Amino acid sequence: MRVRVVLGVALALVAIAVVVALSQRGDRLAGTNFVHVAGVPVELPGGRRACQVTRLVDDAQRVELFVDTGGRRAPSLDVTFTDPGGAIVARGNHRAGADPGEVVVTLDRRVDGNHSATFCVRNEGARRIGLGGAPAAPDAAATIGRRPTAGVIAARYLRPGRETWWDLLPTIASRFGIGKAPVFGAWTLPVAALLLLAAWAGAIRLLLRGSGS
Amino acid sequence: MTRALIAQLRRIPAAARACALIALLNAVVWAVVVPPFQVPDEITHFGYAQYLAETGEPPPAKEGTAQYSDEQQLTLERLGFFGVIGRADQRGIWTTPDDRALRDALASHPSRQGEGGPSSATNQPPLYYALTAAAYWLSPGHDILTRLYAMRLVSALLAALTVLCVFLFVRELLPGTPWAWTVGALAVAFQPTFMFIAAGVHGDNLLFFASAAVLAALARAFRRGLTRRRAVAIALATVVGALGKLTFLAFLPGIALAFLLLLWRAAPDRRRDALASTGIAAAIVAVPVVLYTVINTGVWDRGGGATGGVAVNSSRAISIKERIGYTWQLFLPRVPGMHDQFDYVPLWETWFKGFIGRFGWLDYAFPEWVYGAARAIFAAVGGLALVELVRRIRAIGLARLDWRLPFGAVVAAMAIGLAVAIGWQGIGYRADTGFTFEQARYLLPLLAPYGLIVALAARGAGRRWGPAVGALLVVVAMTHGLFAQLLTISRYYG
Repeated sequence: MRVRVVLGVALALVAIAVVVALSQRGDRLAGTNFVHVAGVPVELPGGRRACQVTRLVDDAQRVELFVDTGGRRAPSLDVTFTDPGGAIVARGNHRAGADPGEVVVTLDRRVDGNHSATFCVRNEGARRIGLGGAPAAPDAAATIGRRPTAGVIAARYLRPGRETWWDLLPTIASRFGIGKAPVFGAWTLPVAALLLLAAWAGAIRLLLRGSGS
Repeated sequence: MTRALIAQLRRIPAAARACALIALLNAVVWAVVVPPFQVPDEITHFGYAQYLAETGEPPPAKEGTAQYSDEQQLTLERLGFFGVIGRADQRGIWTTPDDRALRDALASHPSRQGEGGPSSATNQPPLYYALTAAAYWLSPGHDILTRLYAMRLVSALLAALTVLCVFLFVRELLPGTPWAWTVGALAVAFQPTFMFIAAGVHGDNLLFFASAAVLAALARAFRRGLTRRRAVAIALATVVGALGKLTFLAFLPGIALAFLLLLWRAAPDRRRDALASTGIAAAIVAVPVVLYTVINTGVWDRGGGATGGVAVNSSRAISIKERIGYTWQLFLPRVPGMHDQFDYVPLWETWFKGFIGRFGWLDYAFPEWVYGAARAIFAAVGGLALVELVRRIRAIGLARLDWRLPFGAVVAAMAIGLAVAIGWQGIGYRADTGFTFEQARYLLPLLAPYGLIVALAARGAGRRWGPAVGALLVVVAMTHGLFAQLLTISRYYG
């Protein structure tokens, strides 16, 4: 009887904890341009623009950049993504005054589909800033005018709004099938959840039988 | 022979088989959740197994040759693998075009046979890789990723067998408390650091199984006496360990001590039989190990039994005193006279926090408060286990601990052997590379004693509350595992 009560209470608490954890709202990632912030390789003077070819992913509506201002507030930043034909895929502006570090620029639309785009960041302030990214060879590096910089700019793309993990569940399920054995697909996550549920049910049954409850 | 084996398997309690099945299910879930090659060093273990599968020989590990086949290298690049490991803010491929690019690249049939260049795995003996090579060939699909998942199933099966052995180990040590066997085994079956390694193609999985098996077999021999069959069981588990991973050699002094104590404890009229059994066991261990060393040197040209990995050339001589000081401080507080080896507390940072969970290529972990909460839970578990131990000793008297005391000495000798092996390698690695060597998974060969501690703690709650506390501890372990899985999903897919 004690085992039943303890298991009942404990499992109810676990269920509550899971619901609370998965109901947390937050910024969720749409993807990255596969560049991490290893340093600040792109020095961007005031009034200038740094550009590079990069990937832009489906569902992105905000882009997170790492901005180094030497401790001062970040200047206004203008961000554009253009396709190979020169048409604007998305653009955004971040007003001056943000804390330095991770700066999130909201785009004017939700990106539809995956693109290879020319990504430009314009420093609309007067002072030089640094943009976080990774070192790169001149032919792959971001350029200012025609001059290559020391690296590429890291961009993390965020989905619109603040979502719970429940909201993201269908997206996660589809991501589960990517980059794995071809037999895997969106069905993999629900099946894994069922297998885990079976393991839990088996364990609970064993504990109840073992105690003679 | 087959009939005898089936009869033996049928003698395994149904609860033990159920615990193993539960561990298998959990390990399969982990294998699906963790993306390809994201288990630490899975790339090198897969590379070894693929070379063995393609050529029938372990990698020659010649300096200057490539570690991976073209197929594996291309797959790693197309998965964005090198940009993801060690960088918690980065993710692998998520989009259909990236997936298509990966498939298209693999459709060009890059070579599956690499050069078998030196890696952190290539000095290891080939038993685990032979098992996974079999899965490689039996895989229903011949693309690298389907094969990887088929090979991961071998690791999941080994994890299930490990849990089975933990069950049998606890059963020998707490024979009067059947419910505690299940508690000990299930606490291991849901342990997330163990399960994370079980999710991948990784030689440690055979090491964990062999360690748990040898401990279970030794416990049985100590409790019931050394017979020929039990000596053979210990020897077979030892062979699997020795041909599975070199780390297992750290257990050999403890196993030798066990045989000495078993001989000493044998009744005078059984001593001759016990001696013969020990001889048979020694032969069972020696023949394959010597054979492997000879073939490794003479046929495969890989040097001795333990050579052929990434060269470690200590840039400076390390004194014995320094090695002792380093190994001591890895696990215990520094004592006066010892040079300070760490600017952190390894017992907390490396072992405890690592055991609770530091996943991937050690690039993501729980929020800090979780480790504080876990410390409180582990303190309670340790306290209860200690209370139970003292109570048992008082109840039966020190003199009547009979086999338990020498067996405890054997387990301690094996644990010390493992600690010394970790420390010995650790200081050399740090001297050569400047990086930290130790990871919590290196202590997982001691999963069986861990299961016993949890079972003892539950029993420490007393006859009335013991089963309920045991059930609670298992639910805590399950919850710990579940949140580790959710954390892993958020790391790679969220």
